[in-house]
Amino acid sequence: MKKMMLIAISILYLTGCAAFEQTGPVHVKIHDGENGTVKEVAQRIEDTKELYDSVVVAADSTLVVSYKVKHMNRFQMKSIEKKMKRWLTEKYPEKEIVLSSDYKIFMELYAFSDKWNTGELNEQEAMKEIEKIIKLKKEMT
Amino acid sequence: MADHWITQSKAAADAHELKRPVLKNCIKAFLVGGIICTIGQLVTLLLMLYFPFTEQTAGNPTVAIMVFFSMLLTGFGLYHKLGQFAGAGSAVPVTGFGNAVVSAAIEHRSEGLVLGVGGNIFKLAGSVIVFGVISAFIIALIKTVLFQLGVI
Repeated sequence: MKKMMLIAISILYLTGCAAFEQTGPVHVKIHDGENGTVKEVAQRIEDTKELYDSVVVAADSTLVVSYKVKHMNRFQMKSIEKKMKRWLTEKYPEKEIVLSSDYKIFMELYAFSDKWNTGELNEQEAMKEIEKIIKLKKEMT
Repeated sequence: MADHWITQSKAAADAHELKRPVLKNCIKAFLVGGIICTIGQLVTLLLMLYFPFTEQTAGNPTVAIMVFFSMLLTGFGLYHKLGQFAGAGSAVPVTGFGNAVVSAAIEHRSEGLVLGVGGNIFKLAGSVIVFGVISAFIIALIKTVLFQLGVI
């Protein structure tokens, strides 16, 4: 019984840790010419000390940004998001901007970037995937 | 005269009463409640990994699953052992709600399905629902008014 408890607790602990591991910043540009955008946004996230780990996906009409917030800064998550959103909308007023600190969105974007980098998707399919992720992000209940 | 006797006997009884181990109970409740919440977090994580739920939308199904777990445990007669050990640690998380519903249903099963189970199933948990709905209504009202006034 005691052994089982120990095993169960350690499994819980390890899975908890795995979720917040840094998987490395990932930058994806769907259309050529978005290189600068991706770099700027990634740099800005790197400069914000409350954040770590980012996925930036840029197409010519949309910009999807996902990041993780450091644990003790999770209390200020809303104000961080507001600040980032304001900065992005000022900088790229012609783009649809989707900003999320949600872990699920992060995972989906990460999986998407993997697929894109291996060349599984063409441009159209990629835009469809992005639309799907944006739809998931907008779901409230 | 009678008053004097009562205070005297009360003092005598107090002297023999065992001291409650408050700190120990608190630590037990803290640990068990924390483990229950960690399991809840694991459920959230699994929902996010294997189903299309985001952090925002995974909350409600997690609550439902945790209540379901505690209902099963209550049915198997395991939850009251945990409750005896942990006290409030097992009652305060949402699992306590499932326990309250099912234990009331089991207790009144002998009085029949309709008047027994149906009439008494929310005997303990009913107040949770009533005050939950009322407070949600009041908060929503305040929020709506503030929105209309343009404060937020």
